[in-house]
Amino acid sequence: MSARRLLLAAAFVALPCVAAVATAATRVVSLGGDVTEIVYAIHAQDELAARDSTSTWPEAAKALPDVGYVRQLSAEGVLALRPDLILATHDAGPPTAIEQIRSAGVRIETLPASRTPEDIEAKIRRIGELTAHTKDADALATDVATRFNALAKAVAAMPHHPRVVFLMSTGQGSPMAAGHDTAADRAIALAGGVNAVADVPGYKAVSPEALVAMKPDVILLMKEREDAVGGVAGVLAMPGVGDTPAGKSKRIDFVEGQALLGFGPRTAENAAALQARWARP
Amino acid sequence: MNSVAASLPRRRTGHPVVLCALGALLFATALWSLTRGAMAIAPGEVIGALLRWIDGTAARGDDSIVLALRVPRLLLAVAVGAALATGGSTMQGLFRNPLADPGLIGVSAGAALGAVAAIVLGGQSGSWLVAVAAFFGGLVATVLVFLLGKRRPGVANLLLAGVAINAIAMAGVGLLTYLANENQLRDLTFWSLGSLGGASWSRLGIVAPWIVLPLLCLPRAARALNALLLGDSEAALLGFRPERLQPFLVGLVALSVGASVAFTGVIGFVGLVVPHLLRMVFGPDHRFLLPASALGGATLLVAADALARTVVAPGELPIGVLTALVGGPFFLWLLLRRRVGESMS
Repeated sequence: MSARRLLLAAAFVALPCVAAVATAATRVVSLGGDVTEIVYAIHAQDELAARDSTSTWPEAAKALPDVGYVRQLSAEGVLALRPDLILATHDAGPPTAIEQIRSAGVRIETLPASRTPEDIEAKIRRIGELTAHTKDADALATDVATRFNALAKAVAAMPHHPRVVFLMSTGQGSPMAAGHDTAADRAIALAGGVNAVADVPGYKAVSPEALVAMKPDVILLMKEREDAVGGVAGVLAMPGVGDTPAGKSKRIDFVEGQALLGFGPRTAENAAALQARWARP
Repeated sequence: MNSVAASLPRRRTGHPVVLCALGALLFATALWSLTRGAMAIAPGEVIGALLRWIDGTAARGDDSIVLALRVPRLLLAVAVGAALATGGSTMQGLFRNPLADPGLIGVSAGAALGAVAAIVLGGQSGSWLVAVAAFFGGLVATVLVFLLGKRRPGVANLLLAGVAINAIAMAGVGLLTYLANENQLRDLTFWSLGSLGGASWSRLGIVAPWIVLPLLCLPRAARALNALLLGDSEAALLGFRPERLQPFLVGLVALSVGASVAFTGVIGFVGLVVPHLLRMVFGPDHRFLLPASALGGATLLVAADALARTVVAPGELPIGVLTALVGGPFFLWLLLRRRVGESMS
């Protein structure tokens, strides 16, 4: 098949879509939990036609068709929803699927990776522009910025910063701890903690001995796994935990993983809630 | 093996008919698969799109979904399915072992090591880097297995070298898995379950010759593989040179399976079971078994891929899951209904 014929074919698919934009509402597919959260937070959800499997908040999003895991998308699956606009988080993929969707003439906008308050604001404003909900987006971005500013002041006023270990319990063997270059590392810093595992990149399996040596004041886990690990009691019973400062003072915190680590609109308030707990001696 | 002599003369006459039937089955499965997908496209529309494409009239409607996504994907499924099953059948003949598959010569584990290295160290997924690294990883592992295995005569040594290189490669995969971050872990898990989702005309054009050309050479070895069933010395008496046959077959299988795995990830089951199944039903004549495996493997993979993209639409299941789910129960049924006392050949 010649490139010309392919282009022609793509144009024939694109034409009715372009016509549809003029008459009906835009059909948006949202790929990535953070993107979907923002779409709902700026009240642009009426245009959502589908979402990916990481988009689990708010509850209403789960009722939408699920195009699968965000890094393992199928081009035809996404195209089948006849979207006019695809909003994709930075690591949506695989690249081949993104390429196929693009070559079918569908507009796909990839949002930049975000790990700082400024990034989150920029991401909110960009999604506002793309969905023509700039007013709501501006309001949300301003609100998020205010929360982060207040949080930064509170963190600066903390008399001491607790040493924190974020554990991803796999339920068997040693749990994985978040080193630097992880969302959890940034979230700990935002909430005024000091990551006790900061000298290794990524998630690393930690032995009970290593955990004791890290001397964490707080152990942080995901709420999504709370039942699986047996709650606070289950964590205290994990090997090594009892010999850490966190274990002795029973400072085990569960956080909503998607909310805190998604670097979306809910990150600021979740980090602030953690900070409030950690500020107490 | 005792059924070789008994079954060949009696069944030979029926084999062209079986091959034609397998070909027809593949054709029907292929047409059916073109009508299946997340996008609902009526069979009439699919045939219309194909006809418009063939005679060059302008495409319309959803033609581009059929022509730009489904057709290259179908062709890739045919090529990869044929490569895996023919490779399996060749390996089972070469090693005189019904449990052999292309993985034995290190090609899959080497490819996995290459791909995982590209994903973890190169920070890429679904890119050319992964495919190229997987392809070369597979070839390097196979060459190592072969060089180490041929230091002593006999096929058993090749097998043991394969076991060792597989273990080393998988240790490398384990080490890289340990180093991977969460996203990379998910990427490499999906890679190890396989997907045909990356098919496009340009990619197909680059990868297909590496898969298909070695495949076309394999049937030339059919008579030699038949002779090998009798044993190395008997094959030599019949005028075949087992020590010459080995590099030829290992090389061809490594090329076509390596290129397949590099492009689609690991798709289990096809290479092991399709040739086994055909041998159980139609006997071990490789003149029949090699082309029949190609057709059977292609049919299984085309069917599995059609299911992969429809079962959880608009999402997509990894195809390795489906090859085992589609083929496994059928294989078990066939295995269980065999009479006690029949040989496993």
